[in-house]
Amino acid sequence: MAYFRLHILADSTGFLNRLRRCTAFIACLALLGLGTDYFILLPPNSLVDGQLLQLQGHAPMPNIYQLADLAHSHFGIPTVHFSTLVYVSYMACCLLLFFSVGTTWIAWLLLCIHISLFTALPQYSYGADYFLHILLFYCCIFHVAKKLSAGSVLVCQRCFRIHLCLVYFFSGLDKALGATWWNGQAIWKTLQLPYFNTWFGNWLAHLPHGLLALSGIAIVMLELSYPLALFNRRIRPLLVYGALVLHVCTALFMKLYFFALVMMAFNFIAWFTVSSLRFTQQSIYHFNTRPGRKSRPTEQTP
Amino acid sequence: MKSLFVSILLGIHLGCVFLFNLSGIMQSYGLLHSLHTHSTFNQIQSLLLQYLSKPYIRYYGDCSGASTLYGFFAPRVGSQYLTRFTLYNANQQAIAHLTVPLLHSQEGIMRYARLLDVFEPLVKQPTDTTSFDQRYAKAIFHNLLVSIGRQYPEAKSISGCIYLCTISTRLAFSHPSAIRLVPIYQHQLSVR
Repeated sequence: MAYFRLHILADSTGFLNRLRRCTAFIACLALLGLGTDYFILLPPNSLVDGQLLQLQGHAPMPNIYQLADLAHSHFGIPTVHFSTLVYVSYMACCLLLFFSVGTTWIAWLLLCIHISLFTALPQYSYGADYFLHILLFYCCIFHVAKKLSAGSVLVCQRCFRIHLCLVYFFSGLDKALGATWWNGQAIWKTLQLPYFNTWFGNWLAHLPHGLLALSGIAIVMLELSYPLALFNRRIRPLLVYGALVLHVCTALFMKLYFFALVMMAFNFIAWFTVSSLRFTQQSIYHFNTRPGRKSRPTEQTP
Repeated sequence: MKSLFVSILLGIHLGCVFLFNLSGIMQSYGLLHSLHTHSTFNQIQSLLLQYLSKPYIRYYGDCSGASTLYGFFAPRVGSQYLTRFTLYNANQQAIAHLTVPLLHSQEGIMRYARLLDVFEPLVKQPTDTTSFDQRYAKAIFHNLLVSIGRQYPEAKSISGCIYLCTISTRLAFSHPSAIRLVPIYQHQLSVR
């Protein structure tokens, strides 16, 4: 019993550390990935006027344009300086979160800046922003839950896993409703879309139509069956590694690098523990040393 | 006891995630089968929408990300919009052609592609020129032209065109290019 408790606590702590570090790292990449485009899309040199963008969508808190106006009218901070200040604050929060300095408050602050920058203006936001938003939210509430009771961290880990299963299940169900994911047209069309078009994608699009249909069906089946990972330990590696392969493909074939990274991090946080990595290592070792197969001398017993 | 309290709160959170996505799935179904007359389905959908549009639920969904829908490229893959801008000098000679204005990073281009979705009403309701969505789309395009023109001091005027990128189905694909660009809106203005 004591061993069991210890194991649970060790795993739970690992989960919170993974969540905190991965989220901070990805949030940092969200801004670094934009590079100088940050100052073109957002104030002061924004491509589209802020007031016009604010006419559509509703957000739980003020967006970057409203904050810039507020800072200018109340404190006399020029918009260009405010934008730089937000950029620096966001990066500083990521670093502090990564190194676990004032985790709960920093996570809340980072979530607020993230909403203002990325999700408060839906015209510029896409899937990756919303998933990073979810990761940040979990970072905030799970660290509060940890303070309530140690056992609740395990509940948080289960909640995170169930959420990930809901993500894949609903994504698969929505695809399954349309005929195009069953006959390969959706894969073909996705690979041809101008902003997602890559050399790899073009090559894949010219494969026989049956293969495209098969990959469409495989994606739908993988996403629909993903919740089984919660209950069945035997097929869990198959589903999780399958999802990772799917995200590597979206990065290679559709240039959705950041989105793929966020989803891979989601999977990594949910399922990969130190013991699971050891399990993978052991499986590889047993595979290589089974009868009739020579093991390489460099491999060590874990 | 505290664990139970945390479990209940997280259960409510997951319930919200489930309900928002259930409503999204029902909308997708309605989009694909617009002529269906299942009264129970419609009743459940309206009840769900009524519940989820309550201000505090909506606010919680937006804050926590629970209102995020996960139907990427589903139930079918939509079309994309493309833009093309040409800048002219005082002699009306073209000095620059742009498709993606001033952006360099892949992340920036993805966000620009997302912005172009506001032009959907120009295709969906082409005759309803007074609707808010259509006027909004035109205002965004006008604004884009102004801000691009401002970046080129030698430019006197700028013209731009929005294209709808339609992709032929694989079975009907018999010519070298499967992509067809259909101009949907054009606009020109003098910058200075």
